[in-house]
Amino acid sequence: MSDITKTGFLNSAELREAGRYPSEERLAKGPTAVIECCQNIPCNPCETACRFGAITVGDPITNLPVLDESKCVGCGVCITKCPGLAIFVVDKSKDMATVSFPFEYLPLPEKGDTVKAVDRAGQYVCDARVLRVNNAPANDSTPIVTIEVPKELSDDIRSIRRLNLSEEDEKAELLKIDDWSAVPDDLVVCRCEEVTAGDIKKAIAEGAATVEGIKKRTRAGMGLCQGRTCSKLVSRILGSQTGMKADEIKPDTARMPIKPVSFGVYKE
Amino acid sequence: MSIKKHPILGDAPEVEEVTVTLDGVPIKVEKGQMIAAALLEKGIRVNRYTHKNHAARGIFCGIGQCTDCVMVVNGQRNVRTCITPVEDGMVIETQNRTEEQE
Repeated sequence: MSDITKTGFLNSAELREAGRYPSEERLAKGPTAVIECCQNIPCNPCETACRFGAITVGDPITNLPVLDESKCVGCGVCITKCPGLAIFVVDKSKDMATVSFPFEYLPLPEKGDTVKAVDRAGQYVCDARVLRVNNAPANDSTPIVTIEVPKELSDDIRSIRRLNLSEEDEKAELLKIDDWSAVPDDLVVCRCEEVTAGDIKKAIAEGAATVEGIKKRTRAGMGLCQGRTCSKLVSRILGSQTGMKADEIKPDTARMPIKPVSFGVYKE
Repeated sequence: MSIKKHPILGDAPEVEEVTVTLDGVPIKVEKGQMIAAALLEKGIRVNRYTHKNHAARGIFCGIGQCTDCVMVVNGQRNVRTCITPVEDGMVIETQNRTEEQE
């Protein structure tokens, strides 16, 4: 099983395994809601939105929503009510399947447009035709877009690529910030005291092995903001240079006051 | 610079203006805004200069944490302008505008 804390979503196989995906029989009968909520947060607008009583969160409110697929008619009212945009409507009753999803990006596509369908990770899957764009006032500015896709891809396609992305944007890869040893030396880390990544690497090379030690050598974290901005960056650079894990690095000492005040305040 | 017509929120409401002084020059800004935001709207992006390199600094975090946007407000140094609302007649100065001011 992939790690949801890294990917941010469960894939369709994982949802099925967890019993959180409608049955193939139900999907073949017509549109049904697919609730891909997997976080036990106190939230239940989906339950109150469904006038057919097909969604149950119950008590405690941190329960995951459970869909009664025999009661769901696939109306899609719940799609716009989910604050996490985690509800979709899938229909596999015809030759081509349809997927309805919330789409909060402008410009909106129009009926008949050919768009680029993407999966849960935002990766391009195939081209798809737009069947409907529902931006009724009741949706409260969360438009529902319905696209037509091949049946076998309908469990994975969950959105479309934004329409105003340039070719360059499309090629852009996810920003990787794992390698902190690669930060350029002239990068300013402590903005208050103007300490660069190079200064910090030098301090570590000279033997500083704690955030506190780097602070004493370079003044990183001794400026007006008291390390609020840089101490985490310093500890990451320290980790990358020494191989220490995050939980082995002691944070610097936090002291009062928690917001900058003038010395005059103490006089009063 | 601020959004006057928003695709979801609609048109921005009319807002009262107040007059503040920035480095001796009176400017009109929207009432209710934070100092840094009001200045940004007027195209002013430099709030202070650093001590060591005299490098320009402006809004960085925008939530009162990083102290990059501090300015001299009514004679008080190191005021975090991104979380301090503008007031009529406020005297605002760019911090460390000249080396002598340090």
